[in-house]
Amino acid sequence: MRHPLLYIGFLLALLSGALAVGNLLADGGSGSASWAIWLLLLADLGTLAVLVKLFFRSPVTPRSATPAALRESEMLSLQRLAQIVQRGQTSTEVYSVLLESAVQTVRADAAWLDLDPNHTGTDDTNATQYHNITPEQVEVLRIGLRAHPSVEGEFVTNDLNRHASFLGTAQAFRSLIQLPLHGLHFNYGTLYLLKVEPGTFNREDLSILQTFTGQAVLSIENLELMRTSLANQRTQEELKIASQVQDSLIPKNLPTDNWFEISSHSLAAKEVGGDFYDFLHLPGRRLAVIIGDVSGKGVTAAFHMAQMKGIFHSLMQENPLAKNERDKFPVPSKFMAQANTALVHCLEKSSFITSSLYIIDYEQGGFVFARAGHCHTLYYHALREEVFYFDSAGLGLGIIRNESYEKHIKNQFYDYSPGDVMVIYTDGIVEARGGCGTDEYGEDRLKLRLEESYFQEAEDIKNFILADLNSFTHGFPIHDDQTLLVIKFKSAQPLPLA
Amino acid sequence: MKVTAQPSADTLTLLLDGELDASSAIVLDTELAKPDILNYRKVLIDCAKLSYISSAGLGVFISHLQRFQDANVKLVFFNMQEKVFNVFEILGLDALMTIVPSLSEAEAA
Repeated sequence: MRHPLLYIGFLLALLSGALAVGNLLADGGSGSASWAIWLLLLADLGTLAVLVKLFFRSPVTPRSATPAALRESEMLSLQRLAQIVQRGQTSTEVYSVLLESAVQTVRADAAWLDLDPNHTGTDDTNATQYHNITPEQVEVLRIGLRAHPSVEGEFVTNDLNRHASFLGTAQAFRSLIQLPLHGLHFNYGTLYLLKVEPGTFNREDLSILQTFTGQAVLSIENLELMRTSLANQRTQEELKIASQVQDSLIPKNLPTDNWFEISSHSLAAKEVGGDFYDFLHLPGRRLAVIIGDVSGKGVTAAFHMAQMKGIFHSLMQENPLAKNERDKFPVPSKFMAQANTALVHCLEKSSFITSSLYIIDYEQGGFVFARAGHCHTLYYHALREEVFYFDSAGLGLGIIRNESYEKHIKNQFYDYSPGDVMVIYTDGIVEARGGCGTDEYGEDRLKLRLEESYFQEAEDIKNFILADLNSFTHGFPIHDDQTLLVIKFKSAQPLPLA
Repeated sequence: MKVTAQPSADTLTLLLDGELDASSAIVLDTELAKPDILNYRKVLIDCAKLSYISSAGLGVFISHLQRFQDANVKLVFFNMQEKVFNVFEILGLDALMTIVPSLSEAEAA
């Protein structure tokens, strides 16, 4: 353990550790990253202590060659390794420096390094690094080693020709060291060092190489830790933005009037889905209600939600050129057709949006809605004392990308009575999983809950449904956003506007 | 999710087995994106063992719909479980795509 190359290994660990710590600190190092910082700091302090101890205790005593020449080459190796980690370059370079430095350390005549493509980002073309040896020569040795029963893990031989599996092979080497690069969780590869002369490797060589490969693996793992930590932080940051966007899009104040009650609930899944809803008061005691669900998750979904909200607010503006009152605002089917046209240019081919738009007209005591592929509206009809789903056809947005979309969307008119209840929701509610994990909450169960609660206030109906949903999904993670709106038409009727 | 392709003279039958969600959608997309799939007259999708389809799964079919139509390749779904059919129906896809109960009807379609 008193070889100058040890310093290189330790310094390498120290530098890469310091770099990893620096990067984590520079990126804020908050939350889940902080444990990694302390771990790395601790590891670095340990390495530093060993290094200081070695430096003061052991004089540098190379075994042969000129001490000055050896020290110079080791200094160069050290410098190169330090530069690699400082520049934050790839693990591939750490491997090639490891190979060269190992050759110099034990003064091998030839060497090669096999890397595991699963863990080192290599493929068939660069999974092996050669030093002073041809792929053909390596292949001969590999066949010999494979045939040798005891060659597993570390292996040193000082006369290959003594092993039966190498007899008769025309290869130039007699001494061989085989040394796996053991990481924390898996093997990164195997290092092979060769000498022409027999009996030339000793215990000290192996122990130096063990330390050296150990430190190289540590560097690789530090680089990897740094990389995943940065990637995680980026993903976290993205999700934070997406949920902020989503949150800002959901109306903070529900519309109020004395002819209806609205209660709303929205819960974003961890990965952020694409649910949205919004309201807009229109002139003449009318209220536009929109609900929708963008396929996909994360930032893209949040972006399309924002687009949909923009489309809603811009299309629901009063048209000053309209010849009559009826044409001042688009009817829901017209709105969907226009929204479909607007979305064609920005929605990816595999994405679509489901949405329903309701325009409730208090003066007429009725509403009109169009369903663009969105979940069916659940309704309680007070006079008939009946709960049912509106069964209307309608295609989602972004599926047909031409004028023919208009043929696939219809308006449905309905007169309401005081006491009627409308339940509007997204598929995160009816497709919520519970029971044995594959059961879905389902439309039937939702309908039963409304049958049991229609007489309550909108807020209480919503809470009743949610309590049942929570007991159903208890213990299961939420995979999709959940949105639930309950609108109850009331009997308190104000005087019509003059 | 497992996708098994069964080619015959002018028909390709794809058997879907499992849940078609965002992660398994890639497997199906790779299958449907193959250029030589457009050489068939018909592509039949056997949904007997398709137990669930998410919006990402629907997105795969939607993204290839126009391409199939343009190449005059008929896309027919059959043996669909009721739960899965509901998802197609709610989105309005039953009006755009050919969904039939059985293989014999799919072959006749």
